[in-house]
Amino acid sequence: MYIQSNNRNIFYVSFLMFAVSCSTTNNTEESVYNSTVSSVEVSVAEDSIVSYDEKPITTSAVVYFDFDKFTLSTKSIQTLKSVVRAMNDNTDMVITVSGHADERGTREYNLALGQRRGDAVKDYLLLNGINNNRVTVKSFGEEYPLVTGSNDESWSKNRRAEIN
Amino acid sequence: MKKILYLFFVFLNLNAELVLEITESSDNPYRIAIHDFDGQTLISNEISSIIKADLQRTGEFSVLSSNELLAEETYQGELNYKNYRLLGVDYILKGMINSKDEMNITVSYDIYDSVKEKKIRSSKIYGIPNKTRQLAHYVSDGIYEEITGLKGVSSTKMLYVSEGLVGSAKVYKLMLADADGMNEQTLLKSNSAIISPSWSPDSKEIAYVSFETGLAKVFIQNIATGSREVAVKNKYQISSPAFSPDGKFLSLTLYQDGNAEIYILNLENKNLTRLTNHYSIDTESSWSPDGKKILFTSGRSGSPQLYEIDLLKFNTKPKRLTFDGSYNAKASYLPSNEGIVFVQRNEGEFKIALKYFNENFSRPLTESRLDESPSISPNGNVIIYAIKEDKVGLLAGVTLSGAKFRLPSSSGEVREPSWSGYLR
Amino acid sequence: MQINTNYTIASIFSFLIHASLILFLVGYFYSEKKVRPVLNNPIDVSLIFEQDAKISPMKKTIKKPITQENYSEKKIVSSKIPTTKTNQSKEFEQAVNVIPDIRRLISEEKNLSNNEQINDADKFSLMIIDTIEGAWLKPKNIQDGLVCDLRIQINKNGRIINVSLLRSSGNIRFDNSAIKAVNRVETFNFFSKMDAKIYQSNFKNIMLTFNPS
Repeated sequence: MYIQSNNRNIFYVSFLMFAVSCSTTNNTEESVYNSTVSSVEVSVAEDSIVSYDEKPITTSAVVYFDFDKFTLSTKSIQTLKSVVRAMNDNTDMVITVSGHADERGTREYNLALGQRRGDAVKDYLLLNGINNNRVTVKSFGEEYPLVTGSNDESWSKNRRAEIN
Repeated sequence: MKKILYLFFVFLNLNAELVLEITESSDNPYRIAIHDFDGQTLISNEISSIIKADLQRTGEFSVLSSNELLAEETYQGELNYKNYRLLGVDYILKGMINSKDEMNITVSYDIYDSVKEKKIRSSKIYGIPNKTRQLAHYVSDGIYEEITGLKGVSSTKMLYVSEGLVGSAKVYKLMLADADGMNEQTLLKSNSAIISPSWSPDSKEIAYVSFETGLAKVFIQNIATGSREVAVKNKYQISSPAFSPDGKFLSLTLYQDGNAEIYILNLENKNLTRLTNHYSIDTESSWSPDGKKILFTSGRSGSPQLYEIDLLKFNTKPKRLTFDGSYNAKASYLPSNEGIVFVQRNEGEFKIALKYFNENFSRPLTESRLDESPSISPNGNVIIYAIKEDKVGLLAGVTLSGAKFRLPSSSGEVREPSWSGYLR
Repeated sequence: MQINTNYTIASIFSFLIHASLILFLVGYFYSEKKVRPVLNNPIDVSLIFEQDAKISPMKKTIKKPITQENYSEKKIVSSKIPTTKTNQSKEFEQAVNVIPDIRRLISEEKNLSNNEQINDADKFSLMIIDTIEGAWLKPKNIQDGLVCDLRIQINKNGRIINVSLLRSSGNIRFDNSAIKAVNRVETFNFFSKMDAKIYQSNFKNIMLTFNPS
């Protein structure tokens, strides 16, 4: 009896050791994710766009800014003074100021920067008596540069606010 | 009884535990040998080469393909592991392609460990014939997961914006592509600029800014149906959309207060909650993985820097996170919440940088001059971003392990990549 | 009655075997080392230990229970690492100058023989560290201060038969790099030069701490 139970124990022990030492293979099954994709084409709203397909030769005035800045230089103020005069002369003139930035830096920050530049122009005009309703500000960030090129000269031409 | 005690003490054979410390390292990726898949040869070659490219792009594998190996190294039906080890191979991949009928393809593969000398994984993937690339990506992810323990991202997707010319008119497209830049599909085509594409957490919807109405407006579009709507209807500019991790909110930048401020839109009831209140620019909001904090770019210190708001205490002052460099913007959290990745300007050059929360310095990850729009993979290991080279915009990638790659661009300039979540 | 007794003995026997097997596999016994008394070796009068040049960054702990006999032994080991030769000869001189007490001399003899064994153990430890450092790729762009512990089992031919992660660094890439280094090494070829005793008492199971800082 003693010997029999001995054998059985040895069998259990060796079976356990064998079972534990053989780790399992990782078995998996899956199906490929299937999804549809739809494409949308935007039809342009005719009236409300300021078109940038051609060079803006119709721009009445442009003022320029330093990198990451929206302060008006003395030269810019000169330009804006003449805008004020033009608007006083023609009281039903309504303008749009669009702010832009050069390509450096992130797009969203540049969008906000363009907005600040446009607002700087508007603030000056308002301070000089122009009615709020006559000036609209929009920003296009770095999306519509005037000049392509990755150098200081090109960049300086793109950091602007255009008055139309 | 004596016998019992004796055996008992045999098991009590106490072993010494020597503790050694390793402090230095050298260089070696996992080496995997990929044999050609059995089954249809045309697809087989395509699948092998896609797997090879996927694994190489992770930066953690070097791949030996069949033509670099001798014949299959088997001995009596078992792989000849010793020979593989002599070649320096750590893992071996063998697979098979089966198409029962025209509508079904099954890929099955096995991974063998040459050191442990056994099969460690056996997998089956069911797919459809015109999606063989996806089948291959699933295999790559299975291999990556089995060996590194991390989830793979070869089967994920990305969004980006492409700009091209048709005649003299500019055409902007919002594109969807696989993680390797292939299989491009157009989600939106417009004559006006599109920026800031981003994914909903379930990867079924996207949000982006479009200038089609004449000013920046945020749209949410369903990928499958194409149906889209404006996120907030008012006459002001809105931009910089980001979904919360639970998909219920969208953070936005609104310009109605006279300058850029961050708001949170409740997507269900359309309520807007204001988050920032400062006369400087506050934009580029991004959510932490647990949805409790928002990271954003603010100009309040005089130049763009990164700040964080705790949403549970959003009436308190935002905490500034970046102090080095004159320009730190467009940040997003690592999925592990251990740090952030963002754009940093240093000595006039814009690079992608990484900063861990428990360190007080940033690590530059990229090398070119005008890097922007970083987007992190869902496993936190790879970052894609936009570069400008020879006046052309391209997408590039860098892995945390230091590998670099470029994504093929088919049409025009590409930029603003955004990485989807897991799709498997 | 006799039958009952047999069953009792058998079941106790069976229980002990299974329990100790399970505990053994779970690693319960990996704690203290029981130092077996060293067989008598003649003292080597000129104890010159060849020090490997790259010692300083290494931190090594050999865990032993502190008994009376072993305490002085342990002291010798830890102070030995920066400057070997002088300390050893000092100890030896001290031993010689002491008024001979036979029991004392014998225990000194035992200690010095143990030292010799430990010197070899140190040598092999350094070789193990060297080999693994040569195979380890620390992942780039991970935070400082990450540390992980692996336990490895080595057979007498130097082949690593098991690797397990004892303590994670919290970063999968870091842990993987440590495991990868060990897998890549695969076999320590120099184990063939190792004394069986040294192997048994030191190198059958070792713990590796990966600490780049």
